[in-house]
Amino acid sequence: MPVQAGAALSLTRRGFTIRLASLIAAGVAHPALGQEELQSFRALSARLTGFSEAGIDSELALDMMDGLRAAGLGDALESLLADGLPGNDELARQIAVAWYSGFHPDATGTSLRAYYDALVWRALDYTRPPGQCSAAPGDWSEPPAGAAQ
Amino acid sequence: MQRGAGRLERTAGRGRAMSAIEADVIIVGAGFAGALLADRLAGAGVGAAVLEAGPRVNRSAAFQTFLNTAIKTPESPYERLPEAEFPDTLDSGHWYRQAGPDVFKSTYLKAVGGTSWHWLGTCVRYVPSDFRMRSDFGRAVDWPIDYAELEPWYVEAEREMGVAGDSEEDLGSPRSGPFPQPPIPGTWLDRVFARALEGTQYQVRLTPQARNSVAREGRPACCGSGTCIPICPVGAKYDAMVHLDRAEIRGAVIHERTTATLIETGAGGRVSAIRFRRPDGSGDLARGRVFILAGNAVETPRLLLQSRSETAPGGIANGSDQVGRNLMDHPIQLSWALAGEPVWPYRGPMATSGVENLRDGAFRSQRSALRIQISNDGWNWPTGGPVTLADSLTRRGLLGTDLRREIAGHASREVQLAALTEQLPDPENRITLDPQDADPYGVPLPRMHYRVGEYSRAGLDYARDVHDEIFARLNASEVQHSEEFQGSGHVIGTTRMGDDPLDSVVDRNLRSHAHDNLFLVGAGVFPTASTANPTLTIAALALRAAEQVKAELAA
Repeated sequence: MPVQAGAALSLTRRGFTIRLASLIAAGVAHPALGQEELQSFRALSARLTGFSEAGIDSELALDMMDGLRAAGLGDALESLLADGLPGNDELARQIAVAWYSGFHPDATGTSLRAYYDALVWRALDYTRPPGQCSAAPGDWSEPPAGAAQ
Repeated sequence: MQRGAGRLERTAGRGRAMSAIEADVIIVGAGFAGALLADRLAGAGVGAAVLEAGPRVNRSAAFQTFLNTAIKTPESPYERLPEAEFPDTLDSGHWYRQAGPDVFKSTYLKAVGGTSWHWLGTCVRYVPSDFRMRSDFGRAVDWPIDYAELEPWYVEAEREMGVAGDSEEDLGSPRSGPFPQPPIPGTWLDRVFARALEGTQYQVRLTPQARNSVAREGRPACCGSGTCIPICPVGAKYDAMVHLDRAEIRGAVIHERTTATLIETGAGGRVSAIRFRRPDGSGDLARGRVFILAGNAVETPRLLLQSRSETAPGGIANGSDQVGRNLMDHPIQLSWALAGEPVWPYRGPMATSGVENLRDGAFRSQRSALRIQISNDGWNWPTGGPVTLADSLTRRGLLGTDLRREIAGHASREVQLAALTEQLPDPENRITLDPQDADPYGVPLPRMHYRVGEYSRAGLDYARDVHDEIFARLNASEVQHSEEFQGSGHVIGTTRMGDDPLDSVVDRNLRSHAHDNLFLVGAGVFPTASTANPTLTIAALALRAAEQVKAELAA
């Protein structure tokens, strides 16, 4: 049978709020601390991927942190957030790969959590993810707009 | 309520629910060939019933499954049902029972619409010498019909399927009529290849494709989603649903999840009925005047072999012992590299051009011809790129803006070639019934005996040299060749046509030598494989066979 990944993540804004609330309720963080950790993870993710923080989606970031903890990488994550590189290079690498590929580490190994939103498709800013129509069908006959020839 | 059901179905007997199927023509299999025949026959006022083992497909639901699936194999969007299982790209031992020495790698679907759901759309005709391998090259066999006989039916098939192509380029197959649609625009990548290969023997040409270049008959133009395999999200690519939908409007009845399990014969060796089963435990007979087996080249011989009896100990239509034999594919040499300049792949349909002028020549007495597909999807086939790029690049130590820049730079230079080789018919390459394993209805699973053979291996070797030369013209680096051949998804042979009942299964009109009212269609009837994708030839032969079926009904 084909490997069936979990449904690609499409948390609603409400889902995000609930997730954050549950984080708080579980004693993981009080509101400010939860936000602080999220912001810290987003800043780290931005550095690792070469995107700006604005390009690092909060819902996917929370999902990735959940997955890393489920994968038994919670302590390593705390260490990476506190101490940065070097010393936590392999986890840093995994986080960069997760953002670009959309496959997040979790208790099962990895699962597809983002397809259209995987950063690889924003790095390839001259095209769009397979499954989405070209902006102007037939535009593939010419180099992308703005591309050096 | 299915249209036409009242006309075509009758009760099987007192006190039983309506279950038997009766129609002028019973068609087994709702893929390319079955769809075209159902439409043609229904359009001529013939009552047609189609038995399809697989379920109906909801395009938007299947597309959503594609989005959510981690490994996007050709089969991945489609529902697997226990009673209608099919092979799996990720597991060569799923459904197939591999007897070796090589692994048979091509897969197919069971669904209303068949494997047309995940085909690429390439519509290349066979060249005239493909029908004359024995006469021209001293290899294999000639077909009982020649190119000239099939040519009008190629025109008709191109019209029915809406093939987009350049009518000024015959690609070695002379044309009596134009393509019904202008060509799909080639990619910039195609133009880089064409420019780099100017002055060489390699001629880059636009590929004729059954996908709309302009909106046509309620279907949109191709928007370049780049997911022809495994699923076109908008229906711009032709699939068998085009003709199945029209066949239903014309009165044909399609029975999904209805598996043909046995062929019964009666007086004079004529087929009297086909037994079918359904997952609710029910089963009955489908009766008609003419029976058409339109499964693929695995499932049709499997059904014929399964239907052995005292009067037909080798199975139905198998007086020649050729049923199941001469299994062929187009073994592929896959090669990939980084071009010297950005070529901007991952845009447009998955392939829009190829090298078509290596498909014929005197060398065919010695080794396989090649059809080279120039792919638009970068390294996706060999490496899973570009989604996997970050993994390999971070292992080289790249992170941050360096990583981002290199991902874009690498992907923009990825090129990939796939050379399809011709495999000769070999009677030892065959499908038999597995002695141990069976499906839920008790029908044995297909056992695959398969060897690529020296003729095709020599073509694969030659393809590596050709690919090296082409890549060199692109100033490419990181040239890589797949060590193992790939399957092309083209299942060919196993119920060959011929004039002699002693060495073939069907005659030149695709009628069983042994059973007057039994026709076989699909790529199983091809005596030889050519290097062209089989679909257009399947369609041309099916349309031609429709005339024979109508004549049989009129007799």
